[in-house]
Amino acid sequence: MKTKTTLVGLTAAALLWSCDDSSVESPVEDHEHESITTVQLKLANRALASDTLTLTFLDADGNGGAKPLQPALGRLKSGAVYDATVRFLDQSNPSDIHDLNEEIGGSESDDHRIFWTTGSKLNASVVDLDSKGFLLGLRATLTTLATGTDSLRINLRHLPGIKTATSKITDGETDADVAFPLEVTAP
Amino acid sequence: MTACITLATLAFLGAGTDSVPTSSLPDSTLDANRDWQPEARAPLPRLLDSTRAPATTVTVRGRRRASSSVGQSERALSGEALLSSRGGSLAEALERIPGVVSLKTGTVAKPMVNGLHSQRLVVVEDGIRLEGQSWGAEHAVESDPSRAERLTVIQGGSSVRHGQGAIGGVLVIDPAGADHEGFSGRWTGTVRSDGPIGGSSLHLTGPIPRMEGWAVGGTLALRAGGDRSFAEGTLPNTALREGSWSALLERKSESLEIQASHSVFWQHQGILSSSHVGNLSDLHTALAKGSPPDTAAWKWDVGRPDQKVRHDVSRLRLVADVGGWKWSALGGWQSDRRREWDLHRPIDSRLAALDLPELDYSLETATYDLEADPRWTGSWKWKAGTQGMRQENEYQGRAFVPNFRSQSAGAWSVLSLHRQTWSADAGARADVQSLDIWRRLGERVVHWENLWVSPSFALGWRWNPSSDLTLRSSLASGWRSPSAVELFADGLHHGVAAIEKGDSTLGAEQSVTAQASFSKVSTSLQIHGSVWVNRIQDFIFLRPDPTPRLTVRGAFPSFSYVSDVAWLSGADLSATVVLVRWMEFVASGSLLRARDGDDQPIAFVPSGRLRAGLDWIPLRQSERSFRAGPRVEWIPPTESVPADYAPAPRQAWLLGMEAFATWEPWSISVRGANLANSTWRDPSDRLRYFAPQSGRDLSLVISRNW
Repeated sequence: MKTKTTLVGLTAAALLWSCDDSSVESPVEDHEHESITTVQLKLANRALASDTLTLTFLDADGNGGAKPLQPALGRLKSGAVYDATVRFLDQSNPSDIHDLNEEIGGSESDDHRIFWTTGSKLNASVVDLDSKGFLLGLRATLTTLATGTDSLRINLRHLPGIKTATSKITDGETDADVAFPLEVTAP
Repeated sequence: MTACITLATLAFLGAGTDSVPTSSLPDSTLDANRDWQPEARAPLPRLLDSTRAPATTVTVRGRRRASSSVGQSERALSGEALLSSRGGSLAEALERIPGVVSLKTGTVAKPMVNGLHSQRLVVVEDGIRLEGQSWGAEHAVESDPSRAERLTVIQGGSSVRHGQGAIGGVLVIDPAGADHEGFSGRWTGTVRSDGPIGGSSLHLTGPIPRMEGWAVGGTLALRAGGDRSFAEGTLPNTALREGSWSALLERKSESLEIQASHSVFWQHQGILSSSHVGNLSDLHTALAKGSPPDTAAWKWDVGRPDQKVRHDVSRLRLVADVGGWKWSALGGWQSDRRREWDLHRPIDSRLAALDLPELDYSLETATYDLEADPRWTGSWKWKAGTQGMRQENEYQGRAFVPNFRSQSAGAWSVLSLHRQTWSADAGARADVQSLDIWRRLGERVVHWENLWVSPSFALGWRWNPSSDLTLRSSLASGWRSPSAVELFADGLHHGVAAIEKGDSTLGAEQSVTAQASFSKVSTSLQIHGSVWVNRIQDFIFLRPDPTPRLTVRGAFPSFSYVSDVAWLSGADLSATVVLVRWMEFVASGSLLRARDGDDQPIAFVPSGRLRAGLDWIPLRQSERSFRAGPRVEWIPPTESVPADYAPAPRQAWLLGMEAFATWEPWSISVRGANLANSTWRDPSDRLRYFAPQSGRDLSLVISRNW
């Protein structure tokens, strides 16, 4: 095959040009584009300091390629109130990890909103605000209502110049959308 | 009547296309596109003794047929029909040819011939095959229609003359050449109400003083427009900036012709922002809306998401007479840079400040084309040639298309027999093509290579049973090697909100097209019709995967490239009937049936189209003419395809009008499209889910010749 390819190359290039040391043969690594690889949910039981959980969704190579690592099932205690925080990371370059919370909670807060959606066993309410006083959603309070399995969907939405006090989950565009499976058990 | 035929142009005879001169063309520029052979003299006197007003000079311009066989149907657009289309895109101009539709992505349009487009349609501009990033349906052809003097469409497999890729057909763009006789030129100004879009183009050419045999030519064109609109509102972010220039230097002597030229085309185009979705649930939200939000404000500037394209082409052509043989050599170099920006900037402020495009590709291509004609006298003719190409693609940013190098070489030969009333020919070709791909997987660079060897053939036959009737039929093959995207795509294709996965074991596509056509040209009737069937072995298409793929943005529909047999067939007809001296009826229509390997309709291929109109022609002189009349267009309902996001579009009726006037040296064309301001969705628009087509659009084209 190699010989044949070379022959074709020679025929075609005979009247053209030849430059086999081209940069085409060494594609560059791309570290100048953002790829949200990680969504991390931290839960801390207000009444019980030892009851903390960290659940992670990780897709190190971005969309496509290898399948993402799904978050493990999180076990919560019924009748409890948890302080919840979510973190968004770009870990596509292991030697230069970007914590996107800095911007989402800072200069970009007026253009973003994180929606927390649960089923009937849980209740989530966002507690933090952006610079204009609208809900942001990097922090929330999660209350367990009944025992059973449920799911917490975290949806980071980009609302460029269109964010209002009444922005809905159907406005703007999705930046990240991950569901965390949770199970509420009797204490 | 004194007929003075310019002999220089007769040298190209043995050429010509099927396109028929409209009877309003002034005699002095009668563009007689009949299929003449030097031996078949019948049609020429007929045109000269037509019932037109007397003219002192008849210039006969011949064109070399670009198809692989005399049996293949060629349809052309020039003169008045082309002038009326100026101010739009290349694809919009070509829609006037029956059987050609535009595959749209919002306001970005690319031509579709016989239901096939992109890498299955070869675009040849001034002899050079245009090599752009044709893998994406949202990528328009990188050519400015205002440069074109003539657009020709060849339907069906044409690999004998054009090599790999010529499965659906070939689109030939002929720009204006250099004038050795004297200074000449044309200025065209265009205004369109939808946008609005304004444009201006200038073409000037003439001999170089005191340098015998030398001539120069040049063009400059600019076009700009704001957001377009539909019946109920604005189509957000559909503004456009476009420009092109070209320069040509030519030397002609008895035995040698040398031509060097360079052309540049650039475009900055917004992509309908309401079509940009983050994931499957966003898609469902957008589908439920179906139209851009009422709040979308009209803007003149291009915003995000957008694409910037620059295409450079250099050509060097030599035509020489050596030892009684005619040798033609054409070398070309092309560079195509395409950059695409997503709707929003990175969240990280350092990356946002860089403002880098999400996709950034550079494609460099060098080609040569060598042709020999021994100029046999008598009935037999023979021609042979060789073509070669070397191409490299490099990306910055996301590697949706990996780096690759493609090299090819091919040799062809056509033997033909020309008799008084009929011709027949047989052509064959052999191609070798290699593809090397380099992909980065973490720290490693992985190299992949493959080689394809493919024969092609064409058989054709043409018969003129009478001087006004031409019948043709042909059987011709085409082939195409799989592209780097089809082999190695693995990721999110934002334009279509889907994850696409390639298959590196895919083989080359092989097609065979059988077609038959007729054209009848008399003073009261011009009619052209064709039927064709195209079978494609190993047709590569995207098949939906059973389960969606999960990403950090949620679930996305997932598609894999697979191959199977596909059948496409169709028919088209166009006619101009002179009802009375001052009234003509014009009609054209096409039917198309496309089935993939699963016997399912192929997405975005329309099932047909029908247009009809009347022209009132009160003035029909060589220097002054006027015609005007209404048009109606019917777009039939579309067949549903599996896994489609939304129900197929319903049928649509569109009202329009056209008017054309000449007052030498001025020409004016006025067109009205969708005059009833109907809300309709085009079956061949990939963004039809998110927005309807443009509403009422009036366009004015003014042109002055020197």
